[in-house]
Amino acid sequence: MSQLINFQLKSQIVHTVDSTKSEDVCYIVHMSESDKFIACAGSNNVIKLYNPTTHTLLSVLNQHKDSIHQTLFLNPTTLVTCSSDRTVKIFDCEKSTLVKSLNQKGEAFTIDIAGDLLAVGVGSSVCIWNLKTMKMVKEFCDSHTEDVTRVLFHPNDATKLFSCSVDGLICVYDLTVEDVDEAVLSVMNGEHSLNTIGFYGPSNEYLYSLSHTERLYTWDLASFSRITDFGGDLRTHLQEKYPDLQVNYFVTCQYDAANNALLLFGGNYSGLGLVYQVNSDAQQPSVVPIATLSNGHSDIIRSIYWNRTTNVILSAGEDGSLCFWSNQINFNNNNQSSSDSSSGKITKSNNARSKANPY
Amino acid sequence: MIVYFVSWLVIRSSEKKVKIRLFNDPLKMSKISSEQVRQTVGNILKESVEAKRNFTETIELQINLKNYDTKKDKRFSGQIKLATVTKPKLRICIFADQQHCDEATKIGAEFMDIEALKKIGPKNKKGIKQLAKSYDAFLASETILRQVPKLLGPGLNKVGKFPTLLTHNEDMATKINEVKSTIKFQLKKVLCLAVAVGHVNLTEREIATNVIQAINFLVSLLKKQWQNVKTLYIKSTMGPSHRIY
Repeated sequence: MSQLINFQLKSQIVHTVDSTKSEDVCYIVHMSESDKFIACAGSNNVIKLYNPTTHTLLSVLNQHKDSIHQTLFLNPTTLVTCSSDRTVKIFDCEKSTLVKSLNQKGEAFTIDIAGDLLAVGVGSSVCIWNLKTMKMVKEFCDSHTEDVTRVLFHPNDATKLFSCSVDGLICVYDLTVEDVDEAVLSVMNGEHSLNTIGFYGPSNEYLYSLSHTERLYTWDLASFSRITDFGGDLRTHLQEKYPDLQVNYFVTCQYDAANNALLLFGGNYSGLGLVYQVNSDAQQPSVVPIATLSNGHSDIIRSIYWNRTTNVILSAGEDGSLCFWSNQINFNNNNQSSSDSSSGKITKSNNARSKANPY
Repeated sequence: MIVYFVSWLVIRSSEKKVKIRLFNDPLKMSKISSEQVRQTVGNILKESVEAKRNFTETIELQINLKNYDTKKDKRFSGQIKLATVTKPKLRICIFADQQHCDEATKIGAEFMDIEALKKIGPKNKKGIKQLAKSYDAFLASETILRQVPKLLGPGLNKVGKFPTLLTHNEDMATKINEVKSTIKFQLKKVLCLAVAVGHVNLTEREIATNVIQAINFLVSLLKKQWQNVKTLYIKSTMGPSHRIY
């Protein structure tokens, strides 16, 4: 095993307010960051805004009446959220006021924004709203049979919309086509109930999908075909290969453009966070652990994000805490400095072995 | 036919709790013994022979969860491939390229080539509906799978029967069996779910293996593992339910 970077817990925010009912801990369901705010959506339907540098609580947004599923910054001060209370809400974070509430036909599980367009996963359908007119402009209701779990505009081409669902399908829509029946450009069958999808590659020409059964698939968007399925249940494979690092679930992936690397975040039920590097080459696909986040969380991590500008990993989870992780070493050319700093975990083997680059 | 009817006539089987090791994960201990499951399955099979029905009874596993909040915990849904075929009568059609057409003819599987699909046409809603109704599942060769949305529109998505990929590296018969032995599960707003793990014409051993495989996989997806499981029952379609945990 190449050496692992052990990230150190730098700071921690305890999100939960009600400590009297210790049984009913408030999970942090989703977290997102802008230059000015960190938004954390709790399982108590309340969103809290924190200052990203001082980590102090700035304000509380409690307009949602049911489970919040996603938070997204439209710009550094405007937050868009979606919830099972059948609304998508737009907040001004500076004034901490509700700007607009858009009523949906069903539970809103996911949102994405490109320009003036807002895509919402509502029940098993996908709706497109115009943010200028605040009107719904399009609705795709026939492409999925179960709840839509993620909608994403392609970062390089906002006329292409992607959606994934519990029914296992990933649908690609061409928004320039008027007829909704003909607008489905492609369908990729992920077979397993899908949790999330995302783009990666220098021009976002690839897609990854993670299922609720903890399977990672990668897809080529030129041909809309599957590149690899990593041989089935990824947890079992990783467990066999790296028995010291117990992994029970995966959270999400993140594309690191600077290093052209796809990172996979996972963890175990007792709170350890794990970062893997994914190589989706069809001939030799591999998933290699590169970093650990230990002694921070005590429960499942639900939302995680590696800020490459500050080199800080933000993670939030079911223990109701938001953790900030850092390592003193530069992730790229860490060969020299890493052994003397934080990676105490496997120092013995490090000294014996030639120090391999984590890539 | 699966009847979601829970009979509360509980016949408690011997609650011998022997810990067995599973896979190569020493932490993943099973709370139920395979011996106990086999005994229960044996009883179910006996009962189904005594009260013979005019159809093949399905055997289902019913799971009741606890300490799980559908509002805030992660979704619990997906599919499991079991060791033995659970749905032998599943009608499968292959959208086949030339090579797969030949292979399908050889093993006697039902298939349609691209010309046949083109004949239906993307605007022919009736025809697509008819096709979707005639089969339970579809497989497709890679080149054809890519064209399915264009050829048939969203008709197959709508009924949850979008084809699964069949590559040239996979053996067609194996893949068909895989589809027939894959079960789906999904937890919605209530804390119980049922999965069809077999039918009464399988052997005691085959059913017991499927049951244990399904239980272990489901438990591995739960945060508190066995502490999330309230009760487990197995039953045949018309028979009484038997508690195994």
